[in-house]
Amino acid sequence: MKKNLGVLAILLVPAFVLWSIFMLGPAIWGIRLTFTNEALTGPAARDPEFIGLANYQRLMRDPYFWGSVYRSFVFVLGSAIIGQAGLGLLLAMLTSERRRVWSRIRLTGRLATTLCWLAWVTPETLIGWCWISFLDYNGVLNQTIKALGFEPVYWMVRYGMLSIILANIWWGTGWSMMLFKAALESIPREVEEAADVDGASSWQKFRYVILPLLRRPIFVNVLLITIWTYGVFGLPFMMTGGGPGHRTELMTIYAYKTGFKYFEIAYGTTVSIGILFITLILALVYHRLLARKA
Amino acid sequence: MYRCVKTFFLVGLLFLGLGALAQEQITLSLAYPTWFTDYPRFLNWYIPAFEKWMAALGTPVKIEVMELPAPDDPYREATLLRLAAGTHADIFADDTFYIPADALAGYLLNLTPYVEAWPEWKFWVPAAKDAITFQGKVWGLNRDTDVRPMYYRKDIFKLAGLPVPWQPTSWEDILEAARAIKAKRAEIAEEIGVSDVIPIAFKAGILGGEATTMQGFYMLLLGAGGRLYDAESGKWVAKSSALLDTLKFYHKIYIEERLSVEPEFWMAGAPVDKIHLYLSNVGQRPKEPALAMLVTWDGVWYDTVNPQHERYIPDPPGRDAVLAYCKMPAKEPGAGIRGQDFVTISGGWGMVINAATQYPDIAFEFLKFVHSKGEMLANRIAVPGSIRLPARWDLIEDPVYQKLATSYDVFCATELVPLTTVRPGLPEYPKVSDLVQEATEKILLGEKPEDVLEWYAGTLAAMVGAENVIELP
Repeated sequence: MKKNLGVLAILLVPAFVLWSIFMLGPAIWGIRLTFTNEALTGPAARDPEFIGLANYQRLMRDPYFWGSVYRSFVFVLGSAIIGQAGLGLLLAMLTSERRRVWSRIRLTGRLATTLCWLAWVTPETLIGWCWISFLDYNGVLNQTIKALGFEPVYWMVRYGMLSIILANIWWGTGWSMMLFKAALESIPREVEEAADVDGASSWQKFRYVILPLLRRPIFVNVLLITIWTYGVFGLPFMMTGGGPGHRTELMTIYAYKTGFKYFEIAYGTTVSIGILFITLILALVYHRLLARKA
Repeated sequence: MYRCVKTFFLVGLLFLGLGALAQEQITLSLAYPTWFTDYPRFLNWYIPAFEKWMAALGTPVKIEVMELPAPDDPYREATLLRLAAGTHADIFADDTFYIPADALAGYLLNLTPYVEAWPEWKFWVPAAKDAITFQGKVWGLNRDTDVRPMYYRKDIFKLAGLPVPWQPTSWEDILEAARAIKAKRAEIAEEIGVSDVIPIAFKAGILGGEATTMQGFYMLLLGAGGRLYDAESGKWVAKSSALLDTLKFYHKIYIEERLSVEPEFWMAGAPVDKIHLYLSNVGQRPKEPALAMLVTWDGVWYDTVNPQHERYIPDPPGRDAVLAYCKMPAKEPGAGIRGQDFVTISGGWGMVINAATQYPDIAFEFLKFVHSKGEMLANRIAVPGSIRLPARWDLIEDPVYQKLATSYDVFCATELVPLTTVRPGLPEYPKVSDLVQEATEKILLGEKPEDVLEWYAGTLAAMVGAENVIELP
């Protein structure tokens, strides 16, 4: 056994070295950076100084950061929790082959499942371009509207937050749907049959039998997509760039802009650490809730 | 016999090795904006010619090109990331307004000893010298500078019943013309064969980047007699009536009177490219609008006759029949900066040397080559519209060069250059510029000029320090 452990350690070394170089190292470097005033240009780029907790103090008082925290919350609530999880559950129920919500469900259900899944496996950049070509001023939507005789609208400017929420729902629902489908199939048939025998309506069956049995998968899924969605950057950045003004500036976009538009790399890293903490707190809250309910 | 061969072989190897050492080639890298009209000239002429010249001198040099993303903002980001990582090119082009910040960052080689030892440095005109000098040291070389006229569309003006040629003398003149065009926009659009006619545009919004600050906001601010930085007190201007007037003008054309594109235009896609396409639309893009008045940089005059350029105005009607230029007036005669009736502002790019280069002397040789009088003149001939406001006065006075000047060049050199001014050459400027762009975006989003100024003052003080701002009447 002892000998096996030694072999195990040796086998782990290459992976650990790579992980240290590409994950742990930069992470530690990043944390170190947040205690300096390092910038990519100007005097601080030449002689970065150790400034203690000043970046964190600034973060606490930074209205743009807290604004972005709020916007990220709205984005997560709208696109992940209500959108992806809610819609995913609905789609999973509707396309469940065992339950046959409507007749001829098999083909439509499978088609819908495939399409949702297809969106989820498509790269972020492609999704971004799809939505831009749809919502742009000269995009498909406005062309249609013009053909119908209405005035075109700058959708991504006037309804920026709604646009990125819709796009993210469209992108991510496939994941929740698949997860819920698997969970639904794992519910024992007998339980649902017993409810049928007791004369429960479809809604009652869903509310009092299926939903309680799905609680755990739902919690796990919401936890996962919350963390992912807080980290989403490419899709909203491509579509609105955080604008107009700061109206769609999520935490990730704010971190990026601080680091690479205003070139304050140390403060940008501090913003990222802020994001990390907020996501961590949320994960802990979910974890607690899950433990208590179980 | 065998030993003999072996010795011979070894000696041969030794000589080969020595030869390789002696032949070790010097490699320099160069980054130049790929979207500049004379970028191909670097690839096809400057680099091969310099390599041959250095080889003839006995120091073979190879210059490798480093292509960076385009346009300005991605180029800037790539430049700074490479500089910070220590992997940037030995020679690169930098917009001169970034020179102070980059010099302080220690990225740029101090060229003062090099230029002082170079007899031709005395030919640089003072304004051009200023653009590449910071804290008394020279950080780069520049070939030319630029100015900003106001362009207007003669065909639209005529159809609106406005006089041509036209030279407004106040902001009110501009607004009057815009109102006259707006009143007839549908008929003019139909006549020209475009979707709509937009009377006027001033660059605005965050997406506009530096163009918003320099070609939109600054051109108005100077006309209201204001500046962003008060050189007298050495402080940034947080509030002034000129700042407020400028914001009010934006509010007037975009919100109050709707004399321009929809405010949302500036917040989506690539608005600066688009607005130029509107200015040059004479019906070749029937589904897009045409724009009647725009302040922008002087090079647009040459883009519109270049068939390869997307801003090309097809012939017929041809540029000269539809496009004209004039000076940007102050708010009222005499109300501009230094009491001027008309205003403009200059900028331009410089070539700098990476402080981390292994071969500073050879890099400077390349700079000298590109900035020599003969090469600049050759560039002027080869690339139409290039080097029209040269940094060297010996070139300005050259008879061949003078022969090449068009009436537009003469207008820029004699009418606009005497009026011109520059942006504050300070490391904080790029950040203040970002703030200005955001202020214009707030106007576009419908906020009141007074509120926006209040916000600007507060944010500026937080950015540069309350002790570094001043409120002017």
